[in-house]
Amino acid sequence: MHFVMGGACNGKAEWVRSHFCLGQYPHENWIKAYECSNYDWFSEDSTDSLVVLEGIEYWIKDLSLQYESDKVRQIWKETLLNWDRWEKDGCKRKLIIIGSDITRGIVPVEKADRKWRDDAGWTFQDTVQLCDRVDHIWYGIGQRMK
Amino acid sequence: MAEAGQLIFISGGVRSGKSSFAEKTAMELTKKTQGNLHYIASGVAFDEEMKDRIKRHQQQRNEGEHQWVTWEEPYFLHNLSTVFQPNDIVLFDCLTNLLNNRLFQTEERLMDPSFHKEIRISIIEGILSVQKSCHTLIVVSNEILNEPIHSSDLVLVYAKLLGRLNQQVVARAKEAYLVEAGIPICMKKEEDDVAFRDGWSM
Repeated sequence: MHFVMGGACNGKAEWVRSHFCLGQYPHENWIKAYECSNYDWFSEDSTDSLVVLEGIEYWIKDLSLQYESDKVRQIWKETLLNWDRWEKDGCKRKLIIIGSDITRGIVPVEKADRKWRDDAGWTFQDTVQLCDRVDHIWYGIGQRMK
Repeated sequence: MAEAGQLIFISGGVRSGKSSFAEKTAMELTKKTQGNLHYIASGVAFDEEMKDRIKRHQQQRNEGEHQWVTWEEPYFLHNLSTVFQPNDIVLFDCLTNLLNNRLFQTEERLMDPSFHKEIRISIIEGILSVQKSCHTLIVVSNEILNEPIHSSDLVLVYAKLLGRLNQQVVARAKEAYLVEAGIPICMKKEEDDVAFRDGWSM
């Protein structure tokens, strides 16, 4: 799994498009977390070979509103392990995860936003742990972190 | 030496030292080119506090061995494209202010996507027109995109515009720096660009 992170509107999706030469995989699926609430996006018989998950911070927000932080992390780790299994199960499968960093602003006024911010920080750490490769994007410039 | 003028992009958080680094970079360059130092201020003085701040900054800049020529241009950098010499160094501080001024210039088209595109293209053209007319143009911007962008549609519009503008300037820049607590981190330098980016292989 490949994690691509950085600030909002920093050109992360464009970087993924040019880095992976989209259009070359037989079945590509680009999933936007803010349009699809279900993070269990895959099915066992999926023919997709390249899956891009954009905006995972929104899925983390959904979880953050429903569960305590420990539970959020536990669910997120299980989800990541499922994704990792999917990628390794099929030949030439590739999973790319895109996430916006939301952790550097002023402390949010709303408690739920503060919790979301904390949960995003932790789950991003978990995501980095479980991905083979991590790139940070700053205005279109990619810097490999792992 | 570049023929058509070069571009340097510098960004950082609030009080990160990005302006000091930009000024230092400009002063070092001017020693090499023997040109004049120019400062383009895009801030509009709405109140006394802002007026004081602008005045203080101007005084500080001119305390050193170099003299700065200050231009106040809150809307159109194009207006300044004829005032520079080919060996001059120009510091523009900052892109976020200019975007603010342009976006809120008229209320009625605030949420009109074609207006947003117009602004973006016009700002980039303004930057290029200054860049072409001097030796080096240094553009200062801000790091404000690392927090949740959901408070309102307008904030999202602003974030997208600033993100695109920063990307476009970085793409054209010879050098790009992120300043963290006074320390400039080089994110792009044309000569060693490819090695830094870890190539394009998978």
